[in-house]
Amino acid sequence: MKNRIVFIFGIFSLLWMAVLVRAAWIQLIPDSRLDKIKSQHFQTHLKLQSRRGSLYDRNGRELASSVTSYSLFVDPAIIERPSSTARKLSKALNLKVNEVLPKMTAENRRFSWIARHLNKEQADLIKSWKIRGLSFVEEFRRVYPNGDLAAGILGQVGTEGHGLEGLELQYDSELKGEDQKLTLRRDARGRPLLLSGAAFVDRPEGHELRLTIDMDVQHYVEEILLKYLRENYADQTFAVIVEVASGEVLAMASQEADSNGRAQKVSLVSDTFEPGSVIKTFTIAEALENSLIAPNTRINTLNGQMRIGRRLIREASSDHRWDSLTVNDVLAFSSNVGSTQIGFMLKDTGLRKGLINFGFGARTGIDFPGEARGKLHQLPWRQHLLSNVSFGHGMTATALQVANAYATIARDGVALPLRLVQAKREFGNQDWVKNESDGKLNRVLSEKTAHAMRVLLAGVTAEGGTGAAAKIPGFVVAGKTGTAQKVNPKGGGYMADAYLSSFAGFFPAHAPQYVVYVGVDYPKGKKKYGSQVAAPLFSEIGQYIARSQGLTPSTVSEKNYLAKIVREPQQLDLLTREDELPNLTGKSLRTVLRMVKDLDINVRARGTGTVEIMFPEAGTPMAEVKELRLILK
Amino acid sequence: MTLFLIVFVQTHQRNAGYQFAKKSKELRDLKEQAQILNIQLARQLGPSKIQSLATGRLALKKVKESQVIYLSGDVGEGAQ
Repeated sequence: MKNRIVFIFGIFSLLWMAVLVRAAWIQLIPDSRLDKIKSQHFQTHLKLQSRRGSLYDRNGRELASSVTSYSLFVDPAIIERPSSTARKLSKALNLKVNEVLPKMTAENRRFSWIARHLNKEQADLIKSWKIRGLSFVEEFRRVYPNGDLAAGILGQVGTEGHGLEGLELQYDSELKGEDQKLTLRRDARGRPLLLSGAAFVDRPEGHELRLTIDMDVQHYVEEILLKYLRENYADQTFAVIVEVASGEVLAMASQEADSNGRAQKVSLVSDTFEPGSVIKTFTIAEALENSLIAPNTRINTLNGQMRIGRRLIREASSDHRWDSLTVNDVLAFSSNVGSTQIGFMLKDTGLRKGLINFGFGARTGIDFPGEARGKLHQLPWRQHLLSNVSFGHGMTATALQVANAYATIARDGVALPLRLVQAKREFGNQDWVKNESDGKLNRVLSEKTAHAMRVLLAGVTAEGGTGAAAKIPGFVVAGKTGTAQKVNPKGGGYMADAYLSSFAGFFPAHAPQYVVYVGVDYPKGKKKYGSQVAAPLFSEIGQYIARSQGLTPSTVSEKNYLAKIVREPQQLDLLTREDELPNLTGKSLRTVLRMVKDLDINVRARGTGTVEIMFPEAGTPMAEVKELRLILK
Repeated sequence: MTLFLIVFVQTHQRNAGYQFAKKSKELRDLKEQAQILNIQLARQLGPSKIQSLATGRLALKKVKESQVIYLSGDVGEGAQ
């Protein structure tokens, strides 16, 4: 009996030992087959979705960011009590029951979205119900803290996290970053094990971008564009502000009549139009550069009318009947005939080459999708087209091209591409890396010509010039008005009384810092011309920039600055008693006084600007003239 | 003894793992919260919000041209 007990005990001891040895063997000795089984049981593959990088303005204020959101889906095959669940969900998520229920009862489906991008509170509430068949996926939701501010520039992100428009699209690959794939070891309850260090890796993030936009300036510009849109019953208003030294866009916005005040679309990049008289600047600059004219060269303006074949080129107003004007006054009074004469000096090859040098007909290189090139016709040009192009018709351009061309003059003749992104920062890196532009510096004008052009453009905003309303108190402004006739969309020719009024300029004229180009498209109020609607808009934006950017008022006065304009010898204008009184219409009071300074004539003038009505009439012998009465407008 | 040591180390390793996982989740949640607070701050400091606060609550008016004093000088080109 005892032997039998010892024998059985021995057997059990051996078996027990064998179990222990086998357990130790499995635990301690590596076995690839067991490792494989173990991995299948405990390893999971995880995809960490990258958080989209944030966007900041030039002062580091957040414009766009991404937060975690929770997207709810249903597995219709296992969902519990679909009707009551649908009712609960529709109440919690403010959805209609008949929208939710069909998703829960769909046959032959194992997945259907109920709602995307819910917040944490909503997700926690639904999770607390513990309903089988309802699950969540963590996703990122794009948030724009300032709502519609700069919406057209920033663009949009779709529900799948891809950039659809604007900078979100342009920099999509950098912003979205790269998703990270992890292999994790988890225990039976799904908790990650320490050996799998990857469990503690931070979420990957895309690059962050610091834009050139100043949020405050952008906000101001959007508001004032809306104000001018409404006051002038216009179809559209737009503005772009460029920092001269860097080519950085400080603000860029457009408001449309049918957008309910939401500046969504930035048409400045993609829409082209006939820019009008703002182009005269480049016609004159090219002629100056080629030494075809000088600022004081007198141009025959043919009493305001010029016949080219069967067509007649006229000045903007029938009152403008100048016999001749200096180049300075061609720009200051925006003479179409004068500009045409200068265009003819350049010929089609010269004018086209000049405009191409200033960037027309090509993209500015701005880092924004969908930029248009504008159109410059191929050579040869007929005389009529050459005339039209010399004052900004018969060609198309984007607002950015016009602004960039003015920036070239302000930058002493050097062209730079425009930029919207100032710097980038990689995920986890504190330092910003400057976004260097790929474009090389390109000299378009000599420094001497650029200086001369700045003085000529300052003459436009001086008393009597078309851009007098663009003045910014404390600063000398250089710029040019534009009143372009609008092309008739329902056929050839131009629409009657329909204009795109604009003003392009920079300040301070002697040391330019900011270029501003503004436009009011098809104003239908009493004021229609660039000098009446766009120049005041320029002035208001300029005043705001001067205040907000802390510009020191100019130490050079307009009078001193304009003294640089070398005027024609005065004796050519002087009248004698033997002469007949010429037509003084369109001349400034300054010019009239100069003409009669040697005669004992009493000049009485009312109003400001240029002579509109004169008494006695032109042609009266000077010997009979004792008093000259002028009404200026 | 060796077997006991191995089991002991593995148990502690596992516990430390759970703690790390818990803390890293808390860290992620805090970062998320910070992100949300940053967005709220950006919202509060946005130009339109400040403008409505200034004009609505503080009854401030928009700056008029006459309020701004420009000290432009006529001192010639030498002073540029």
